[in-house]
Amino acid sequence: MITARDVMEFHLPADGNPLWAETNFFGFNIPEEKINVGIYFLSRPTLGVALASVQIIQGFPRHRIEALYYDEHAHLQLPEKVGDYSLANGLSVKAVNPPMDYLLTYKGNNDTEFHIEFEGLMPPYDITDPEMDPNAPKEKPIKGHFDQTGHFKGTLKVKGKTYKVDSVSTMDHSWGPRPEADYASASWFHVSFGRELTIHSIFGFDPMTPEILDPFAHGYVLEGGKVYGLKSGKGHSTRDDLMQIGMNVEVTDVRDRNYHFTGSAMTGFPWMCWPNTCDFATLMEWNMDGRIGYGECQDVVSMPNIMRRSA
Amino acid sequence: MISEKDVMEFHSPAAEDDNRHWAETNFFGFYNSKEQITIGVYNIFRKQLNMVLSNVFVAKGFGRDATECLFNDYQVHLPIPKDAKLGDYSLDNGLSVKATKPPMDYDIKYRSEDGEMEIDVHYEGLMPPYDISDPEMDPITAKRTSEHLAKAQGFGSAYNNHFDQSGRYTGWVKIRGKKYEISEISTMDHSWGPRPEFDSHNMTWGHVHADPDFAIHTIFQIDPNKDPVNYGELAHGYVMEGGKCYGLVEGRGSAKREGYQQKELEVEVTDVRGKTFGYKGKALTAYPWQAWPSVCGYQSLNEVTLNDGRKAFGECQDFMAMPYMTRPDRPKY
Repeated sequence: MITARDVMEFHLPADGNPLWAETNFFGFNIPEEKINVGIYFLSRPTLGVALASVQIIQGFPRHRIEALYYDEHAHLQLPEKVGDYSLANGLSVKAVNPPMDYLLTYKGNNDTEFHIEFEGLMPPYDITDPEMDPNAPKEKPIKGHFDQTGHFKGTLKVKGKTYKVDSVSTMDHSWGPRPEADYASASWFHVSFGRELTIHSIFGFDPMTPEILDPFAHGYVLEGGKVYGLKSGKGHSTRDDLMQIGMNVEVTDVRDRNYHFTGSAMTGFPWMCWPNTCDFATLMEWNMDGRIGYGECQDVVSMPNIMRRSA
Repeated sequence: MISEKDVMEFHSPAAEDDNRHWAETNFFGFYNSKEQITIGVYNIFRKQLNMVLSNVFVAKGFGRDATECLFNDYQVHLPIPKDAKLGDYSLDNGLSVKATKPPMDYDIKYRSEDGEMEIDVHYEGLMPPYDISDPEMDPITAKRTSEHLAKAQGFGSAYNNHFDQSGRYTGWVKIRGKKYEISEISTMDHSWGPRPEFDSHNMTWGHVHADPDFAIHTIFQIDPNKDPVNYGELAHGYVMEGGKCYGLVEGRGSAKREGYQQKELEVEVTDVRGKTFGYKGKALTAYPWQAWPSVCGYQSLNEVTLNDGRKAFGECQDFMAMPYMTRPDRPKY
C-alpha cells in the first residue's frame, strides 16, 4: 500500500546504486484539440541530479522540434522532496493531499504555462502489493511502482493560446534501478470514459515482434469509484515501425469481467523519455462497444533494442 | 594560447560566471567518407553537479530523429570519476579519452555496454589548438570589441573559452561486427563557459578537409527562421595549409535546407594572408543530433569541391535551441 510518505519522500537504495532513479509522470489530454501533454520527472537521488521534461504534442511530430512545445532539462539540481518541488526549468509539482491530489504548475518559454489540479479518483495502485494486485510478486521487491487515475482540471497556455483542461487520465510514480543504456520494453496505456470508468494496463513486448503485446503484466479497472485488479490480458498493435497506429486489447479483472476495446491514434510522438530510451507515445481514441473514450499509450523501447531492429 | 594544462585540467568558473550552467565539453568527430558514415563522440562535463553527459553516435543516411541512425548511446547521468581529468577519463558508458601528447594528440576508445559498438582511434593534431579568444591567433577577435564578440562569437557564453583543432584520425570502429577503417582528417573542439540547458545562440560550425594537411574551419552566425539560405556573420575560423594555420578575416556562406537540415552548402572565406578559398557541396548524411536535450545540432557529413578542383570532406553542425525552433514565428517548412 502506498502511503503519504511514499509520495512525499525520496526512496533511497541501501547500496547507494548510482543507477537508482525515482520518477513521476503526469499526462493529460484535450481530445477536441488532439493535444496530449506529458510532464516527466526523473531524479537520481544518489547522484543529486534530476531530468525534467514538458512535452505538448499535437498531430504526429517526427522530432521534438515539430512538437507544439518541448522543454527538456537533464542537469537540474535534485530537490529535497519528490512530493513538493520547484525546478529551475519552471516546473512545480506539489502533493497537496498525499497520496491523492497534486498541484502542477509550469511557466516556460514562448508564453507557455499551465496551472492544473489533479484529483486522485482512487488510491494509488501498488503493483507490488498482493492485496491490491493479483499479479504482484510474492516477495516485496526493492523497487516500487504505482499508477493512479485522476481528474486533471485547469488551464494550459501554449504560445499565447489558452486551453481549458478537463481530462480524466492516469499518473504514475516509480523507484528502483533504472539503467540509462538498456531497458526492457513495456506498453503502458489507459482508456478513460470520464470519471466513471478507466481501464489501465501494462504489457511487456518484444521490439522485434511489436505487434504482439505479451506478457500481460499489471492493470486495473476503476469503475463506479471502486478498483478491481486485472488478472490477465492480451493485446495486438498495428504500427508504423514502432509507433502505434491501432490497438486491440482484451483484459479480465478479478471479478472475471471482460473488457474488449480498440484504439486509434490521434497523436503520435517518439518521445525520448531519457536520451537513451524512446517512448513511442500516442493519444488514443478508444472504442468499447460503441462507447468512445480517450487515453494515452506509451511504448518504451531502449536505444539498443531500436538499433537491433535496424541491424 | 591553449596550453597543455588547458587540455588536461578542468576549468573552474570565475566568480562572475554563471556557476549553475557552467560546462566544459569536448567533441571528437570523424568519418569514413567512402562508407558515408560519420561518428561523433561528445561529452558535457558539469563539475558543479559531478555529472557528465556522454554521447557516442554513428550517422548514416538521412535520419529524421534520434532513433534513425546506425548507433546512438546517449547517457546524461554519468558520474564524473573521482580521478578523472579532462585530458584523461574513463566513463561508465565505456568511453575513454586520453590526451597522449597534450595539447596535440589523443586516444579515443569505446566499447558499448552491450558490446555492439567499439572505437579504437588515435587523433594526431596537425596544428596547434586555434584559440578563438586569443587576439594573437584570431584576427576577428583582435578586431572586434568585447561587446561585439559576446553577441557574435558563435555559441554565446558556451564559447567564452573555445578552441578548434584539425588533425588526422586513424584506427577503426566496429558496429555490430562490421569493421570500418578510419583514416581521414577532421576537426575536434573543446569549450568551457556557462552553457544553459534550454537556450543557446544559433551557429553553424563546419569544416572541410583534404589530404594531406588542408582544412577550412568556420563558425558562422545563422538565423534560418528569418533567412534559411544565407549564413550570417563569420564568427571565427581558419585555414590550415601545409601544417600552418591562418586565421580568417572574412567569409560568407549559404545553404539549401530541408527543414533546418542543410542538404547543400557553399562557402567562401579569406584568410589573414588575403588568400581566398571556397567550396561547394552536398550532404552525404544528415542527422538531427541532440547535442543536449533542448539543443539540436543538425549534423551532416558533406562532400564538397574546393575552388581549386580538389575533393574534400567534412562535417557541418547547425545548432539551434528548442525555444528558437518551436517559436510561433518559425517558418512552415
